[in-house]
Amino acid sequence: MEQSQQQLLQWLYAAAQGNKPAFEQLYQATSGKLFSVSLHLLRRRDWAEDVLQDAYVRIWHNAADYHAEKGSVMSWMISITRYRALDLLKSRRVKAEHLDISEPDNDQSLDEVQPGEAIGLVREKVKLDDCMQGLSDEHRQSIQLAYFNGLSHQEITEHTGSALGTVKSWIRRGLTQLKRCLEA
Amino acid sequence: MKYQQQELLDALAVDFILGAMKGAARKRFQRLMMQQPSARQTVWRWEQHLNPLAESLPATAPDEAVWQRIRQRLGWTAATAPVAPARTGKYWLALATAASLLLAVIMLRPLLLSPVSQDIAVIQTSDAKAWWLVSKAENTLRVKSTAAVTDDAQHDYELWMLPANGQAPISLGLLPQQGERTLGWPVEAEGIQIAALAVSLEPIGGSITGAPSGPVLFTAEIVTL
Repeated sequence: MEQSQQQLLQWLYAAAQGNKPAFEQLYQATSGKLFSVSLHLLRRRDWAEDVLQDAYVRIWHNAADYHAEKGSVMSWMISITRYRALDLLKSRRVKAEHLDISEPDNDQSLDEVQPGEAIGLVREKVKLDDCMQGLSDEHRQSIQLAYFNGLSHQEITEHTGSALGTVKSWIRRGLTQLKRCLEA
Repeated sequence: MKYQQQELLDALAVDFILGAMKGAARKRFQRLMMQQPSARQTVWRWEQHLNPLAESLPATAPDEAVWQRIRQRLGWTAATAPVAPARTGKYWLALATAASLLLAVIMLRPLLLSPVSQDIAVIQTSDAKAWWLVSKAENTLRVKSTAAVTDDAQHDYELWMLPANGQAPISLGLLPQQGERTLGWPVEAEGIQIAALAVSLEPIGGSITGAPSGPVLFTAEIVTL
């Protein structure tokens, strides 16, 4: 089940040369993860499917522009999907209407080890988990809400009941701490 | 120039990635990324830091039609139809029109023919209506929904494995509300004794916390054949 960076890279290189079966394999191996990313941001299947289509069309056309400095293949593909989803979110301007996020959980659930399938991001994921665990609950939760759900600072205040300045500084400070931990 | 300060670049890159930077500011920053290598390198570095977060999301298989539409948009439709991915769809279309006896036989077939040992579980309601049939062989989990599943467009049903050693539940992925789905057995669940399976009701796309966040609707025990 595990798709190593090496395997994804092979498919992507082949796709850049116009190899359609390789691109299909790349799609089959990664579309489940990218669809989840898109679904979490948009919370509507039809929109999430539109974004997924756009993302893979873009991945096909831009395959040759990928290089290692942009991160792992999976990370690069996640970024393409996220930016497309964020664009759509902005253009539809209806975030508030379809938001359906349960109240912040009690702290234990956030402290659990986060499970997930392994697709080319495993090592980074383990490190990130460790570093995320080191953050305070508020810092971690605001980063998660912003990253997974595309919530603006303002929307996070509605969700957590905290002041705007507080949320901004939670995210800012949380990410500064995260960077220090990740790059240590 | 202010933009050259790394701290400021970090803050801008993060706002850009999270989507907090909007409108004209976003366009200005995109232009800056094109002009200034340090700006785009900062964004790339933060993408690599943050994108592994997506790893904690359970994979959700998109509809088969999505791949077909991508092929259309890439102008590939003249090419021969793909063989592998169409299989599941056709299989179930055939099943839908078949008599119920045939249905039962086909559902049992993988169990009867399989040479390796198989674990199965039936996830059912308190009044014994089966919603899903789960079978596990080696590292693949096949999940079939029955007509009894209550469609819920607002939520997903997420399947969890409860370790016998009392560890936190491990997500096995999202259950289909129709048809069948194949799920990979997660690496972190390998070699762990299973006490039971559980199904929770989660927001679309599944729990983001890594643990069941909605009500647990079902639990089921596993039988080894």
